Amino acid sequence: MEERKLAVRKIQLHPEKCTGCMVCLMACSLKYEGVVNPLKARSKIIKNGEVVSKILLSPDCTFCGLCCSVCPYDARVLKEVS
Amino acid sequence: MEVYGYAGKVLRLDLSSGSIQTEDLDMDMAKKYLGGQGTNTKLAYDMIKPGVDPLGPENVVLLGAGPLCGTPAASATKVMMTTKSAINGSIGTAGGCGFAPMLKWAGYDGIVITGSSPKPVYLLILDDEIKLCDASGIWGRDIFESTDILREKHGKDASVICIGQASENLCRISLAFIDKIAHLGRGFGAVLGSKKLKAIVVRGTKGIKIADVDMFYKMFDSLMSRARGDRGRPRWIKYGLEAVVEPWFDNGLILVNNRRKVPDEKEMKAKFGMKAWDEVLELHPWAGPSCITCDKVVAKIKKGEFKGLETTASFTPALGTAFGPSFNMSLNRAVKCHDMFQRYGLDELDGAYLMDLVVDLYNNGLISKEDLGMEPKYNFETVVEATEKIVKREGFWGIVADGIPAVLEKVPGADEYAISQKGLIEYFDGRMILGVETFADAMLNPRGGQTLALVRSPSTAMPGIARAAVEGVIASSYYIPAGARRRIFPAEEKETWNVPRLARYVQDINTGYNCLGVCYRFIIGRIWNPVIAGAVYYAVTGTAMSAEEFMRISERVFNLQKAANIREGFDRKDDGFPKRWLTEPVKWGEKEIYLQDYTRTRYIDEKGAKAMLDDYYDERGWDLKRGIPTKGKLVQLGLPDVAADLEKRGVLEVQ
Repeated sequence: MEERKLAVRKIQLHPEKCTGCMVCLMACSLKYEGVVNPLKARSKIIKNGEVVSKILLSPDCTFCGLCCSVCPYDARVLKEVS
Repeated sequence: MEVYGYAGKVLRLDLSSGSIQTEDLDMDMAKKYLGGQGTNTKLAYDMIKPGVDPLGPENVVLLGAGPLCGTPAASATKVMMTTKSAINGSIGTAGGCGFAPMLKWAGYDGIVITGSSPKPVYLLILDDEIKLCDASGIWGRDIFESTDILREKHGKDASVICIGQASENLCRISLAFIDKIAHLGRGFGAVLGSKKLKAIVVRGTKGIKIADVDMFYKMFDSLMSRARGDRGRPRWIKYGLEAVVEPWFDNGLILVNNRRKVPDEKEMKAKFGMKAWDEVLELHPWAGPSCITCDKVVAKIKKGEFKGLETTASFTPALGTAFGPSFNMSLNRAVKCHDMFQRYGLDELDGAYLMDLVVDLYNNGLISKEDLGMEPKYNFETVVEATEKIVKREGFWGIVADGIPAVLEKVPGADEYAISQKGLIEYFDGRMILGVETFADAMLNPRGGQTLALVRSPSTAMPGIARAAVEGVIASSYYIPAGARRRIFPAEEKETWNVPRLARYVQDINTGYNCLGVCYRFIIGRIWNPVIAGAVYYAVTGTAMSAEEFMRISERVFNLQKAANIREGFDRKDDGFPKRWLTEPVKWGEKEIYLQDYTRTRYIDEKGAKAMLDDYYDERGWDLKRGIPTKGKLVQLGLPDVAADLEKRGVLEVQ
């Protein structure tokens, strides 16, 4: 029988690399809500003035990793920990 | 019916009566003109009566969000504003980063603004809740302050187009700002000021549907991998176009003393180069929604004079070089001047050049200390004092506030000193660089000098790029028929190539991206091409568009814009180089640099300039004598009604 290990997925967030382009949030809303709108995403980008200060994940984030795969600035990275 | 890509609605606001209406987007029009600049230009042609006062209630403002805006399509972030310019009376489109996606998320592809409000107002759009609000609390405040107040009130994530005191006071050289950073410029801010429309605030909670999500991501990945393949990308992201400022200094592209002299390149690089930036500024890259290689920054002075000052820069070289080299000041002081312009909403390109021109006119005795209420010099104090006087329109500075044409009208003999194209200054001087960008703007842009994004693909805003390299970029990011390619790159010549003939296709493709809402700064422009544009458009909207069709629509919109300007009286007499480019050299140390072609293999005189115009009109299939589209060309592009209108007005010769 195939041995299966439980994989834990983690999203590393690097707000200092985030430029606020919201491609991640657009992809998330499209996948889970069927339409593009960052306000519908399961994540948020918080700005202090015009500069990104924090990236937040909602409790309903599934860690699917789509946001990480589309981020143009490597501000989100999906890690799989066995 | 399901609508993909487009939001499907347009908003109509009449400021005179206060009426607000929504209507369905005319999908036939959307198919013919795509959106953004395309649908805006069609509406402008139909709605702006020839000869109206740009600052009168009859002028119309069109805001358009292209079909790709509001999706994560790479860098589809630009809103297009079309109106009649307050500086030179041309009809054209300014594009700026942002606002368009949020407008789409609120459910609208565009806004049509007519009339003029009796008192200061701002337009608030929260999905279906749309109202005109009293702007007395923010009228008189600067752009940064006003935007912050509006966001505090209506949502921190709202997108805001806002004008500053310069536009309120009807300074024609003012700009509207998008989200405190991007510009809608060259005579457009004052139009909003004349309508007493301080701001447009939008926050949308709806969404845009994508027709074929799988195909969309395939295209996204392909664009992303083309972008990541650019070795210079990390540098663009950190510094924006400042990343090329040092080579600009090396090649003498930034001039001083009313464009007479190249400053010492070593000194300039030490004062305004990247090392100086790293020492003085804390930089935060800023991207508009969906921009995958941003080139804007939020900058903070971390050391020295004005420490703690935080400002924004859309065109990052402006931080140091808009005022620094010409007015002999430090980077810190140059950033301070830039910040004043940002907050008041003044156009740095026109404003900095006009101040330079005023000092020159004063030094040559054409205007007096009494006229100016000050003694102008090439220094920091002059810029600060003049900026305040321009915004308040004090004395002669009220004329400066209206741009180069106003100064030429009031100061006899000033035309011997000023450099302008249709009343606007061009960023680069043709004598130092005559690439496609400079040529297309400096001679032939229907709106006037430098109104398209500076430095576009194929990026001949830098001298010495080999013909083979230009051909390579053209092959990968353009779609030009083989016959035209042979005319642009003649087989019998090895080094040289035909800039005017290529200019046509550069103008067209840029117009096409403006219709879709996609950025075409060269770091983005060279990853897109008409084939990709067609594929992404199909994935987003579900409607097929071939590369040929994209180029045809682009050409249609460009010709329509030209037609709108023919009605305003523009034709071949208005095209051509600024006079001083043809008559006077630039001093570079001991050398004297005269106007020459891009490859610097031949000098250009009046005759050569005429031949360049002829080549361009010929490539466009236009009437060479008058420099305007022929009836046949307009009909071929699906604009027979425009041809008939121009014929009726007697501005199109019957063939």
